[in-house]
Amino acid sequence: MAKSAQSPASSPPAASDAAARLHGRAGWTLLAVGLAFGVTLEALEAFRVSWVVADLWRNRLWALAHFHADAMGLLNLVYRPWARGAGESRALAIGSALIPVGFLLGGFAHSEGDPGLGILLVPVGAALVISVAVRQAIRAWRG
Amino acid sequence: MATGRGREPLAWAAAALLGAAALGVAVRAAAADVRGAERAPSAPYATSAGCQACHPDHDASWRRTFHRTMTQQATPASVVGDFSGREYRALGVTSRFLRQDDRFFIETLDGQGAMRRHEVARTVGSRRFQQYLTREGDRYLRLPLAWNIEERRWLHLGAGFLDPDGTDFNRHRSLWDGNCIFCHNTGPQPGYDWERSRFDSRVEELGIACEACHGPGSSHADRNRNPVRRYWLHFTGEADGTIVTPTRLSPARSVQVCGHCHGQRLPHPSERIRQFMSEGDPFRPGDDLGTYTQPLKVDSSLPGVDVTARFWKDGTPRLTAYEYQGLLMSKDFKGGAEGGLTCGHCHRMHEGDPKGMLPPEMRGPAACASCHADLVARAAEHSGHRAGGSGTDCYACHLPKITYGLLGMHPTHRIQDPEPSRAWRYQMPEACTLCHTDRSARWAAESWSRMFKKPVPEDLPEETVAESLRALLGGDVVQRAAAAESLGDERSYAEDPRARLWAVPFLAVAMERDSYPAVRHLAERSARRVIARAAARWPELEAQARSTPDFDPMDEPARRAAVAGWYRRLWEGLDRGRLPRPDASVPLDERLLPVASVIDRLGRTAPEPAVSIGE
Repeated sequence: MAKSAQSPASSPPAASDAAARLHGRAGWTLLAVGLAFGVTLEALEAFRVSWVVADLWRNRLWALAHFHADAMGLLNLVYRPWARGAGESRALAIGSALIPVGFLLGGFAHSEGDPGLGILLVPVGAALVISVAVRQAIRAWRG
Repeated sequence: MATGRGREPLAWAAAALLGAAALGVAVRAAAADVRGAERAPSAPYATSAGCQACHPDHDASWRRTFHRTMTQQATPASVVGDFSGREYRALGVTSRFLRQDDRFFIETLDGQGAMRRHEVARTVGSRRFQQYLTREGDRYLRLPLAWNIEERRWLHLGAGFLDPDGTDFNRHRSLWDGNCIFCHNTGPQPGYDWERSRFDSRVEELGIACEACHGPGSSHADRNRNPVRRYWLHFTGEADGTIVTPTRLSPARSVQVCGHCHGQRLPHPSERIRQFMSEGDPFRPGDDLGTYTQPLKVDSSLPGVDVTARFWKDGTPRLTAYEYQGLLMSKDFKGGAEGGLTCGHCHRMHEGDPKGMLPPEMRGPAACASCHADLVARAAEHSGHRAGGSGTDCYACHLPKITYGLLGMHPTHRIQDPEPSRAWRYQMPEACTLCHTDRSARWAAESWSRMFKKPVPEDLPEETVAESLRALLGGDVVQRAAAAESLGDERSYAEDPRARLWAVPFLAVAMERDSYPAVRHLAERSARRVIARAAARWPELEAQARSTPDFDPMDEPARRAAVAGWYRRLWEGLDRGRLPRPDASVPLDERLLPVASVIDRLGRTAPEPAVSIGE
């Protein structure tokens, strides 16, 4: 396995093959699923499926699920050159998945004023993603 | 010693443990908070805007209701009347309705009897009538002219309430701050200064909003900013003591939430009127209504007002806004005991048709099925009427339309078994003859005795004329109104809708001769309905059904007579030999023309003097 080298932020180090593979899989999968889900949502809107259209919470949460799946997919793809260690890669990949899944599940079995309990996955996923982002930021500042 | 990488899983595990512990503590705290929460009747109001964020569905369903639009600021969006410069003449006064940009004006008599332009400040009502308030000094005044929403025409309130001809034009020009404010708004405070005789009225929200039924909600809203508390309430289904849910109250308290407006009442003790007028109604949902007010009943004392005119002689309310009193008198209410009937059994505030606030199924026998499933299942046998007909509709017999309000007769809320003798013992409309409009009260009593194996009443009346006509021509004003409505009511129709066309010439008599505009209005409407329904089966009537003349019940007598004459001539011009002949109780001669002597005789029995039965 190639050892990651410290490089300036402007020229990211080469990622390990394993990490690159993980983020490539996570990124493209999230993008594929997120985009497909977005198109599905649009279709449901187009055909005025009341189960989605008339339920404001579900509509909003699933739109967030779609957006976050796409955004997290892109983040994973962009992250590949900066990957540092298996732990961080796993944290980012898992966190990236938990956020859209949390929004998706939050749209099910929700009360009138709040998302369903699945929404609890969102802060957990966010904590994982943010922890990776913070560590990358620190490294970037340290040079 | 653990390496950096080795410590990472431990850190995540510790964080997860800490998060779980924090969540556990938060859940316990929320549970304790829910269980210790108490109603806060003196808390500030949150208004519907404060409720909407957590209750969007309830907010949306409330926005569909006429409760929401009961009182509104006058804006182009809220004003529905025709203010295009239209003129309307009533009681010798020609009023004009004008619009200038986004402002609305009514030119009509002021309190001193001079013509003046009044700017419309607020509107009241949005279902049947829209009434208009103008601001004069420290107070709002309700003007006596209203827009009839359903018929899309102006009307004088004397024709909406039960006022006889000759009533003063300004009888219904009345103070809003000390009257209407209480039930048509949320958190009303007239702010009357007894020293200076001035109002400084304010409301928490115009119209009947969330907190009119759920109580002041700011404490509830504040405490439920905590999401853990909200999830706890949602998943446990526990009641939140910080807010009132009427369906969770005891039956007695639950009906009081509705009854505090749908049941005219008097401050109790009477001196409490000072508190009402200065601070507002002290009642909050969940309170015992009896602490502050007593429902107005037939034996109540109200200085200067004959309250008995508002009730049938057996004590049953005969005006709307007394539904609470009717329910209290119903056997099914069980005195407020658990299992007793409540408003919420039939009515829904957040679903169904906003008209009547009833889901569709609650307009029929299903309304009774939850308590009387066996009777509903064998309704034909129970009622002695044909299955599927109007005679097996529980409402027809147990909640007949004997309550007058806003140009219509409505089901009574005193639910009781039919008893034909009420017609002559209490001079009130009775279920049997409200449908069997061609039959006498005597026939009803004899049939009822036979069907239900009861003894024939010993005091059977001698009168053999159909009760609907006896009441229409010789009853008191509310009897006449009920009879006029029943003659056009769909329930009274035989299988062949032409079979009720005989009512037209009698309704024409009422249109011409009755001394109450409201009765004349109902008579004309019923005549129109009878003709329209018959036309569906008799094509030669279609042209007449489409060209019924315009009728203003407050018009000059000669014009009314002309319209009544049109209806009379319509009947006379029909090929009556092709019509089903009604029972002999209907006073028609061999040519099927009304027997004038019977009409005159019944007319002489109409009670005098006339009474005004207002709000």
